[in-house]
Amino acid sequence: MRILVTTHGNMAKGICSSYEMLAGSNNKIDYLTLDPDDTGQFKQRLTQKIEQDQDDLLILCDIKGGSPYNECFTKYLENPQKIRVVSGLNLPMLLEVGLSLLSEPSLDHITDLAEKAGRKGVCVAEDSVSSDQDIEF
Amino acid sequence: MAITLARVDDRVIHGQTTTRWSKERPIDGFLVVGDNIIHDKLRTKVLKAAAGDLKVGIFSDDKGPEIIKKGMKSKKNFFLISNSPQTFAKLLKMGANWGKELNVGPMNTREGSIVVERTLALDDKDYEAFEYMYNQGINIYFQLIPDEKQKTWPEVKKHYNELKAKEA
Repeated sequence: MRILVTTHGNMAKGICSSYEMLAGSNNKIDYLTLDPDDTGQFKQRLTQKIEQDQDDLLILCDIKGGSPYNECFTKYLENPQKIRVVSGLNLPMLLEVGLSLLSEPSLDHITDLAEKAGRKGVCVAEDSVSSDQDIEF
Repeated sequence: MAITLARVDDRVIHGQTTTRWSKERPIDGFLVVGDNIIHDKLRTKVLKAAAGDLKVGIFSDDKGPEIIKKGMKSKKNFFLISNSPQTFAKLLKMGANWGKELNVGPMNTREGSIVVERTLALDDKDYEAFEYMYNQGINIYFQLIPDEKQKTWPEVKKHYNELKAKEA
């Protein structure tokens, strides 16, 4: 299993560096950026990334309907056995799937993890925390 | 089970602990010890929120040994955290026993401290505290996250002394 993060501009690179700061480096996580002056190389570079390894691949994209997503979605349609695509990339999502690689998850399972962690990661800060001791031994 | 991680971390509970160490070692809750933490209501709230679903208990230095004993005997697993090695040295002097290991995470710069490693600033009191615990047979290892290489107290100590000599 491997993970590819792909975004408009440097977000993919940046989020991988944030991941590393929290969880350490992982050679099963790679990224691909769509650059502002891209004139069609993205598709080629994506194909290279996909074909450089025979492992199953989870692709995380920044936004549904954007170019990185659309290209990845095409790849998924061509090879649904080996590829899954999840949009709405955020750090909780990447952390969850990145750290799950140790337990060698199936493609279906890791896709499910990505979606759940991504959704759960969005919340509004609230001052409802009590400062009382709540620990139990 | 016991106390599965004892850690010095001046940010106490944050991403490296909740996302990384908690995957590496079993944990049901955090035991935080420190007089300066327990009296800071705002910080207490932030720490509880940072722990997410995990429980947090925050205790004074004096309560420490009793709490550590309870933690060690419990069926549950705890991370024992304080923001200073001086607190751990104090606990050890009071007879606390959390096992033979002490992990050291980030320690930021403070007045009078020397930056020894990228995220590690020590002053003479910290130095004394580590030296004391090391001589008591505690295995002190400096490591932010489990994937990172460990540094031992003798290595860090050597570096601190070199920097100190340069400064003089």
